[in-house]
Amino acid sequence: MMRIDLGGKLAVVTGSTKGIGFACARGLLEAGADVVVNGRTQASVDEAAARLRNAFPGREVTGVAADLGTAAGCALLVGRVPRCDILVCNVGVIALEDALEAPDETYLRLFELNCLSGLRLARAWLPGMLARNEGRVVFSGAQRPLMAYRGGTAYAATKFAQLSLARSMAELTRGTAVTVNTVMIGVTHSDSLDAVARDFAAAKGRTPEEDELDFVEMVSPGSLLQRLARAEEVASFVVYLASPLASATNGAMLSAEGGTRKAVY
Amino acid sequence: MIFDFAGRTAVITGSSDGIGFACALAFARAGADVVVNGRSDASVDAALARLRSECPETRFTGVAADMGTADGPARIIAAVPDCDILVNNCAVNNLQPMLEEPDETFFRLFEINFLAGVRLTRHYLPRMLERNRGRVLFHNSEQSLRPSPDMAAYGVSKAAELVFARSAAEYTKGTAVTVNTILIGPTRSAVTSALHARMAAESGKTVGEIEADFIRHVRPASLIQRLAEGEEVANMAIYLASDHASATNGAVLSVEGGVREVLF
Repeated sequence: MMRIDLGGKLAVVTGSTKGIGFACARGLLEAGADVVVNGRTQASVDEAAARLRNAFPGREVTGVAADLGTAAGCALLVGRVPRCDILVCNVGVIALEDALEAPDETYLRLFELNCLSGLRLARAWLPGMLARNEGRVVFSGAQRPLMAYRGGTAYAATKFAQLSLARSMAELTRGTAVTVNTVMIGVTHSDSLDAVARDFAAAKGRTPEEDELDFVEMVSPGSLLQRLARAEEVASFVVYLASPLASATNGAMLSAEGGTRKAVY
Repeated sequence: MIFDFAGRTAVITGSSDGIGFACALAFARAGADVVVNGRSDASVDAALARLRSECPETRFTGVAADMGTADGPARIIAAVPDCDILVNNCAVNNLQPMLEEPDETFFRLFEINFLAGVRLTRHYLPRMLERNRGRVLFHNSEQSLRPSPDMAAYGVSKAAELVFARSAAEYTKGTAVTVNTILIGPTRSAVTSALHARMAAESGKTVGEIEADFIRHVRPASLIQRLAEGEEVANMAIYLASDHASATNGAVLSVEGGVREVLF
């Protein structure tokens, strides 16, 4: 048996009150790390932190409500957490407008949250990781911007920008034991997506289970997985990359997207 | 996170030393039954002795077989008709200016580095699909993705393997079986260690200095600024072979120390 042990490490997971972020917080706690959960509202943070404390009694779970789409929100989180060993930049939002329809505001808002928030947090915590010669930054990246679509352009563009940010940030770790990597995520179960699936199924008079293959083919054509990924399946790769086992993986993009990418490389 | 392969059999080609050996050790420690392969009885026996001293509880099977012929994979299949985890690791390299590399070198490397994995996958993958459980891993190289004028036979054989691996993954659609590739960079192995020891003896430098020179001059972009260890590749193999990695399929996963200065 082999085990990942992150005992004594402090992990910050942004956007972790539900979905993939919550699963990452859970996975990191399960592996022994102390965890900071983050969401926009105090209520959502309190609820997530309570669920995690309930699942892991006696463990250190800190909740910080902060909107990471602003400099002030990032500063608030950094102010509450002086030291971070594992930073999981997970927070992100989607906007569905077509490329030419989306106003500046959409592009700016998504850029600030989906891309710049990672840099703002890294500015605070990465120097400490480099000084200690130990630490991990893991970005939740998106599979989608690797394909061309007319819609959701602000999301795709800012998530692609995040890939560039992550790869450049990895350069700062040259010659150290710190790594910066991106997990590439595809269509994964979440409250909002499950609601969409329910609506689509209901419109055809079917249950989401009966309609699953059609739904998958629509949102994730050709997927090898032939189902939506579960948040835990993404989180497990985040936990692996956060661990000492992944010490020779740096500046990389690692797929947990169910094989939707019809490309050899 | 726990990795427990109790009751699972892992076949690892080219596992008598280097990265393959590190994988054999890691899978044994994680509870798997392990099939060890090398070209000669002597190399397989030596590896088995080392592995058994580390993991006395593990069930090991040794198969001496030259993977550069159709007979080699056939021998493995005869000894181990079924497996849960196939790690296509065996490979050989050849350093030679490409226009001087004869057909024979291209054929030989194509057969060992590419066709051996095809032959084994052809046998084991359908059985995994029938059971709806299994993992096929290919150990590939970042050399596949860069110009290799002095290792062209190696580069083309491993490039071909990237395509085969991704194509084989298509067979797993809708199943719980996955096929993935680990992209490996400069890693300490029996071959590199022997080479570096010889270079050290010839130059009066230490092996450490030779390794540092290699990174400085040949892979200056490396983020880890050192050779990777076989164990670090094995860690990724363990993760990918585990049930935790169920949403990673048809992918190329880097354990190359960040030597590639590109996004893709």
